[in-house]
Amino acid sequence: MKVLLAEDEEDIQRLATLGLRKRKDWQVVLAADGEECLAMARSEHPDVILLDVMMPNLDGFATCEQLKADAATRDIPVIFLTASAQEREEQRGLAKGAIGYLRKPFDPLQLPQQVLDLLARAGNNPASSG
Amino acid sequence: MSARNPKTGPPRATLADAEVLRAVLDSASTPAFALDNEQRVFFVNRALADLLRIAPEVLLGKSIAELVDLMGTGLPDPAAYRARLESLAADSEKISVAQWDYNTDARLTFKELSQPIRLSDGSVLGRLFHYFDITREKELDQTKSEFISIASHELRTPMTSIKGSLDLLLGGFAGEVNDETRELLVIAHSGCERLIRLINDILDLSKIEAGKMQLRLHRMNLVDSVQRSVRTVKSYADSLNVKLEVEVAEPLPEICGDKDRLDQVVTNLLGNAIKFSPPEGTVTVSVKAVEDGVECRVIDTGPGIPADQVDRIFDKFHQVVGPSKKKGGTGLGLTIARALVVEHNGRIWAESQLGRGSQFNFTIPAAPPEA
Repeated sequence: MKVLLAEDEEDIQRLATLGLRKRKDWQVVLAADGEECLAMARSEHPDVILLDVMMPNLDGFATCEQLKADAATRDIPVIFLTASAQEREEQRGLAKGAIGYLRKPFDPLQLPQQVLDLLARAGNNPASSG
Repeated sequence: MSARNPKTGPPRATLADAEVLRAVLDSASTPAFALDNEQRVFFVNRALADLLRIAPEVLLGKSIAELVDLMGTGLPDPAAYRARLESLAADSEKISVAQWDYNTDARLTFKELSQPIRLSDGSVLGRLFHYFDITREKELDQTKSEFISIASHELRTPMTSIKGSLDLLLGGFAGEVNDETRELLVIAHSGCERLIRLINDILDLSKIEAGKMQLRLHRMNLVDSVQRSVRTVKSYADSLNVKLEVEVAEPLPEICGDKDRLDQVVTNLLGNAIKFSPPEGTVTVSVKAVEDGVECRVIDTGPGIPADQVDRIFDKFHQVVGPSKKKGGTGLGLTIARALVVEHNGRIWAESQLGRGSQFNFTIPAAPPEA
């Protein structure tokens, strides 16, 4: 399973990566903002994208919109992982085509299972559950 | 016009002194007008004429429709305002409070207070409409909501780093931790969780106070919320050696509810009940149909709440003072629970006896029959 994590905070990149890599065969690639995320979604072909909302250059909502507008990336499931905790923000994220909305703080060790549950609920078949 | 009594000094107005009364109302800085029983404007004060930029004599004698027409583009929703005026003008009893927006150079927001004008013999002369400018308060409220939203976001980010690191350490990520270290990590972790609850509660309360709480209503059974909440608090109850009992009196009507928010209400009530129960105590949650819907009761065997505090228990930051005080709450849980129940058009109340325990009850109206 290849996860593309778009997150501008280095500490949180590290914590999420540590949690996700606890699963066997899980690989994490990092993007530091929305624009980098768009480029890496095309070049890295991830199985799932974890997307922060408040990021420099291009925020998570705009990034998701562009991912869904591009035939090359539209089928990659997107899950928001964000400190933007309000319900209207969650509704906005889901309306942009994300399959899930996870709020910070999160437990790094629970994160892989939360990702798998959301993928399963959305009908995606993860390449490997580790 | 007015009688001056040399013994008492200043002139005293009598009911006949229409000119004096007009001067008094004209001196008020809050806009006001009055309709007579024919639903025509019979009084306009200076502040309203100034706000509308229309001379009082132009407004006098006008019908509601004509008044609304004269206000023109100042009204964001003329039809709604006209309907409200007409409905109130036809009502000789109601005291009403509403929000009224009016555009001049800027959008102004007023609190409209309307009540019948009653003479001493009880007869009704007409109806007074009085407007209090709350534009500044609304702006401050908006600023407060925005501040809370930003603060919540900014606090969450470092909390993610702290709590995430503790989760990894406690999960054995960096190797086995000895008992002393684990105890300290657990203390830090529980402090983090308390801080996160506080951030969430403040955010919820801010939404509720701004009238921006959005419920996602679906037909549901309240028992499902109760059962989910019992599962959520089970390990907490076990850790304090408190027994949980669920009593359901079937059949129950469905309700229209927001599952997550009702779970939050029940979890909060159960959490409090467990926290204040003695070891070996029992918390009972019961659900039954009542005349106006479904009632849920959470009953504990704790120390009870002093009688003078029962009514204030739902107030913001109120925590029971006395021997039963326990740490760990945000002081906002019951305020939020009450607001969420009220948003569902339900009722919530507490009953308590010192030394015997407390009972928190709420009802949610039954859903209308399916078409």
